[in-house]
Amino acid sequence: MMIELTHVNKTYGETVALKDLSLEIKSGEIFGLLGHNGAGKSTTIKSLVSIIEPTSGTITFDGKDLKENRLAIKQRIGYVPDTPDIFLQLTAAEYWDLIAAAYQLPDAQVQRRIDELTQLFEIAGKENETIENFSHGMRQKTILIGALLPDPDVWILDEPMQGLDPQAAYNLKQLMKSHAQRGKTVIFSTHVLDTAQQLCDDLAILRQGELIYNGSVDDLLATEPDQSLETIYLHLTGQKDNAALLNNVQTDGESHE
Amino acid sequence: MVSRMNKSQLKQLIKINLLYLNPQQTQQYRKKGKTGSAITAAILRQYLMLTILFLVLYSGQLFPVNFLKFPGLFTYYLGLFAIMEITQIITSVYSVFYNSQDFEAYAPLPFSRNAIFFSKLIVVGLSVTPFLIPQVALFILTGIRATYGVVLGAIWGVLLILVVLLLVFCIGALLVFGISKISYLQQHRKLLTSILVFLPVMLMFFSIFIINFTTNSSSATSVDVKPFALLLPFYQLLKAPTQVSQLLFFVAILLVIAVTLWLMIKFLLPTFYATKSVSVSKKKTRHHRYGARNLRRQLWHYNFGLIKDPNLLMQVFANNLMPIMMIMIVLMGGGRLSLAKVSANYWGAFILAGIFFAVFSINQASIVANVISLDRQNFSFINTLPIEMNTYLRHKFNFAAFCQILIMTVILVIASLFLKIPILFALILLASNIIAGILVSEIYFTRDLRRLNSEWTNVNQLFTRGGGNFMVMITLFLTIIAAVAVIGIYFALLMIPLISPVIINLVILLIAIIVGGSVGWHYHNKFWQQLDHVDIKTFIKTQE
Repeated sequence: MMIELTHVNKTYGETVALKDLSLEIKSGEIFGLLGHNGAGKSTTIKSLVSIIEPTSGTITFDGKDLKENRLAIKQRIGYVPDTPDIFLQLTAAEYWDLIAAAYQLPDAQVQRRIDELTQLFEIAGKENETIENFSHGMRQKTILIGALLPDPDVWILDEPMQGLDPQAAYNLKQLMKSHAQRGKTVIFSTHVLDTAQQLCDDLAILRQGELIYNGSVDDLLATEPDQSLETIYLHLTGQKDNAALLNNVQTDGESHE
Repeated sequence: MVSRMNKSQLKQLIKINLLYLNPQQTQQYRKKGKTGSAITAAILRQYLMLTILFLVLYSGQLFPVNFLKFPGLFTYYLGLFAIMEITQIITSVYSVFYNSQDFEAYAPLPFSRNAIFFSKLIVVGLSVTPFLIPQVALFILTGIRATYGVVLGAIWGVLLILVVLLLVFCIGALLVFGISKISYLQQHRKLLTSILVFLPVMLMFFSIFIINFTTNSSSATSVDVKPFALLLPFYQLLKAPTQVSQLLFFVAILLVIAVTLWLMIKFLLPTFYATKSVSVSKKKTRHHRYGARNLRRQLWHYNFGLIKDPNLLMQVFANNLMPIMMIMIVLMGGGRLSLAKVSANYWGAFILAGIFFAVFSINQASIVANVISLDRQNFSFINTLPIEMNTYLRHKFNFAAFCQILIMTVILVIASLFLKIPILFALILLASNIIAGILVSEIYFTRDLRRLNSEWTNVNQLFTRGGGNFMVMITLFLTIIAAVAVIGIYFALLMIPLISPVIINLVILLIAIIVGGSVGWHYHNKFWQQLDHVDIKTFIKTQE
């Protein structure tokens, strides 16, 4: 599913969250959104999943305007929010039933997918506990399973690795890869550059709501051949010389020992 | 050094627990820009003021009465204040021991368990002080009127009240800790919280109910009431402490307190950490058959889960239901008022009563007025799912309106039975109340969406949206004025011999249909119909 954002702006009063953002995300690719806190990653994702309405600009999925075809497009998206603190009153099983009802999934598919996914994410046996009793990681797994349940054309994941144990994070990465290999689209935001380097075909780097890089990871690495992705990223986003501050913090800590 | 550090730790822990004591009040102070010590100082000041107020108020009220001559009244006041204290103790123990949910947070910190418990006990003790004052006045006033002298009488009174306080504390704490130890409730924490939240309210409510129905109009200062046998020994102990039987009773009370405290320290408190970290995994895993079952059922179940929150129910009860129930109790007049023989000419009055009861009962603290905001972040998430917002909100409205109408219907059915309203009139009352209830629910439901708040941390923030408590009071006041005016006009018209009562009642019915129909039509066209055509964010903006 081809996704296009054209001149998208989002403002909250005086604050500019997104400034003239234009992106193209192709079918069958894993697309990463990078940026510091407050750079506009979550705003972009929330605009894609209809949580917020851009102030101006258009978003299309396979050429269809999101505004005009909201429900049909939502039917093809699976979303994981940045915090998994939703539907805390429900048990995991009840939450997945709700998702199944929303996407009108056939019972056999739901049963099969949940059996597979609960095994994979080692959550089997906990389905009847309320989400509020889960740890952060368990909540994340529950919401992830919900997003994977309908096997949608587009996965949109806001910092999905947060709180996951290494095994679950590995599993999710494999699922993201195989999803893209099947011609479907994965969009995710992350602060972990290694993850971005490992997974992304293309990525966008945002700074204060503006797009400062859009292209493949390889192309980005080629801009400074001897440098790591971390160094290049920090250069792009305006690395600050924190050496003096870091030194002060360390010295201060030592004097308290 | 260690003891000094412990003292400062204890002081800090007390400060923290004071913040937990009344979360709503703390929130109010925060809203006013107060933080840290400023809040705890304000809370302490408030308790001090309350204590002085109670002292002045009850000393003045109790001073003229010589309770030595009225053992029944003595036990009545003792019982009444003891219930107040127990309810306060349960509420405070719940707030600082359970609702604070801080035991796990303290675990990695260098605080001793004793300091943590002691600080909490001090705060519970402080919260109960204002309610203790009337009892202090009661005991000292009765003590100094006894035959053994003013000074000795006062000292004996103070000593006895301390014993009573300890006893009341033991009962309250045993109730809370005991309930929390029931293994079923340990696995159902929400139910446990509900019980701990509702127990004091129910205790207080039914005490007032019983007092209202059992006390007669006779003057309390000239005629004694029947003494409560259970509390009479305290009166006798205060009046004649030197008698052997009274001394034995005193020793027995001390023994009961000592044993209870020992049991709590030995068995209950050490396991308190374990209670906090009860694992829910003890629950048997039943096999769940998954499937895209009926969305309506799923949403009904979900919405029911939203309102099951004990704190929310407590707030709805206190802000919305309690005033209505109190007014109904007063209106029932202790079961003496009967409408069994009401004239058939007055059927229009039951239409009006049903409408005004709905208007009066549904306000911004009602479930229907907050049910969308209760979604919090879920509401945004629902936006990402392929569910029509119209369908989602309709299910939500149906659920909330059903709950609201069910509550009103139960209250009205009970009131109809107590007031002996003829069946036909009762049905008219219920029908007009249900229809008016649906329409008023629509008004508050759409208001909730207009003023949507998904970021609330305390449910009171939802109740005070818009004009806040001031608007609630104004609305309530205007509703009462309007109700009195309309019903007054109705009865005045019925007095005019030239106009047939049938015509007056039909006009009332007609006006109700026109007004109700207009409101229904408005919300159908401007709300439900519009929801189908725009996305929810744009819709909320257009409604502002």
